[in-house]
Amino acid sequence: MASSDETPGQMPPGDGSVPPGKPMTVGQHIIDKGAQMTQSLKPIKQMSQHVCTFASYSHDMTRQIETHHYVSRRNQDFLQCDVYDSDDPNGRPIGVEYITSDMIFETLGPKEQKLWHSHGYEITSGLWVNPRVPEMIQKPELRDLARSCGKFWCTWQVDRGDRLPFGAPALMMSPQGVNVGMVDLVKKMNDNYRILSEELKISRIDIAIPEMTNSYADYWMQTGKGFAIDIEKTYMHTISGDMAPPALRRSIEGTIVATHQTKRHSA
Amino acid sequence: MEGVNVSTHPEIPGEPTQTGTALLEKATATIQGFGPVNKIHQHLCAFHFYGHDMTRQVEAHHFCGHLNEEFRQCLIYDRPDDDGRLIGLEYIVSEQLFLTLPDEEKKFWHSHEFEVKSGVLFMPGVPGPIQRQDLEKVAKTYGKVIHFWQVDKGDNLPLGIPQVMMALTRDGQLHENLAKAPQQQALIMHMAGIISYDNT
Repeated sequence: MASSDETPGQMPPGDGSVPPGKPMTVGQHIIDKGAQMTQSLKPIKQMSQHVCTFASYSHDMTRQIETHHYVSRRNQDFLQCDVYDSDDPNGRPIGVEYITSDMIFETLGPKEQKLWHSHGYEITSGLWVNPRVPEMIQKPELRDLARSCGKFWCTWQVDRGDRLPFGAPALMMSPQGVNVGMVDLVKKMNDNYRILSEELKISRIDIAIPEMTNSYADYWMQTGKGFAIDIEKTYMHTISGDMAPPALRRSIEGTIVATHQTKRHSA
Repeated sequence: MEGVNVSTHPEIPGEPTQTGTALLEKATATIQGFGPVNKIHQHLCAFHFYGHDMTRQVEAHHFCGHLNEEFRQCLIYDRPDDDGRLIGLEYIVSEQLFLTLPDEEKKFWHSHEFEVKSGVLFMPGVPGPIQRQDLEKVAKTYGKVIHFWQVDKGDNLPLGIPQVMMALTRDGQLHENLAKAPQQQALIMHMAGIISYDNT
């Protein structure tokens, strides 16, 4: 029915805005404010960091994007991130990333590990940035995060022109030494935040990247292949056998998503 | 009917956050900008079930913000407190936008009319008149939900691959022990999506 590596159908007509739609009405702003005043929104208030970094699509490593992660920490070994394509208030929500320490990562089986990527390179090379935070303050945390791995699902492929979130979720991978082709992207980020990734790289030279043996993270580096996600049809398990008449049960379809490995590609 | 699936809140493995880390992050939280996230202004509570398995139902706490009048994004948590796990995302569009989607894409989306009218979808803590105004709009929208973390299975980490979820569209679909509104009769819905990790 859909695959994360296939081109989506026709875009909605209109002025090309992403997403399309009318501007917010005054009425809606008032409702919003009303809700905001009476609700506590606790999980959102747990977000304590903004990270700007880069990622590529597992099924097409030539497609590289700048990402903005809004991070909340659950414990010393686990963080969850809401990911946007920009730090602007109008940034589009493009996915979710989970981050675990190397200790937790090593408890995962190979099949699961293949979906994860390491963070050591992107931190030590100065690609990962915490905007506005002095490097000296951030360093202890970066030292820790350089040992972590992430699992990043992208649900909206804005970079290919999708005006709405089409298709299947895509697995994302992190920058590694072999695929730095993102010179323009990095320069744009550097200009935006008035920093230099090259300088950060020098200041982070003492951050160690763990040597993980038997790790299946960054699987594409070992095999040259990535993963795409497919959505397929299947039959849905319903609430109880005798609730639906047989005719209705036959017409109940579901969809299954599997993964397929992409063709060998060069990064 | 009896519900066999109750949302669990499995403990995430790992050490408690160290004081130094917590202090650092308190500092970063005050220094940095949180532009897109600052637009998240509402909490909506509803239920989702797995596209391939209607018996697996999950309480879904949506934290929503508007990108424009016709498009909302929601972060989905398993609980509305400080300890909530980020288990998924939902995109919500107006009917006008929904109708512009290609037919194949429409199949991954669900309507909100039933959930709103039955009272299963609601905004905790918001006074009735305000809630009603917004829910009248939500009733005419469509959502696409992807979950990444199967907490109902007891997963203590977000394992496996994403799941396309669906929402209630008729009476009787919701397990009684999860329902907050009175139950009525039963019927079943049509299509759903799931992502299963087939091997490589």
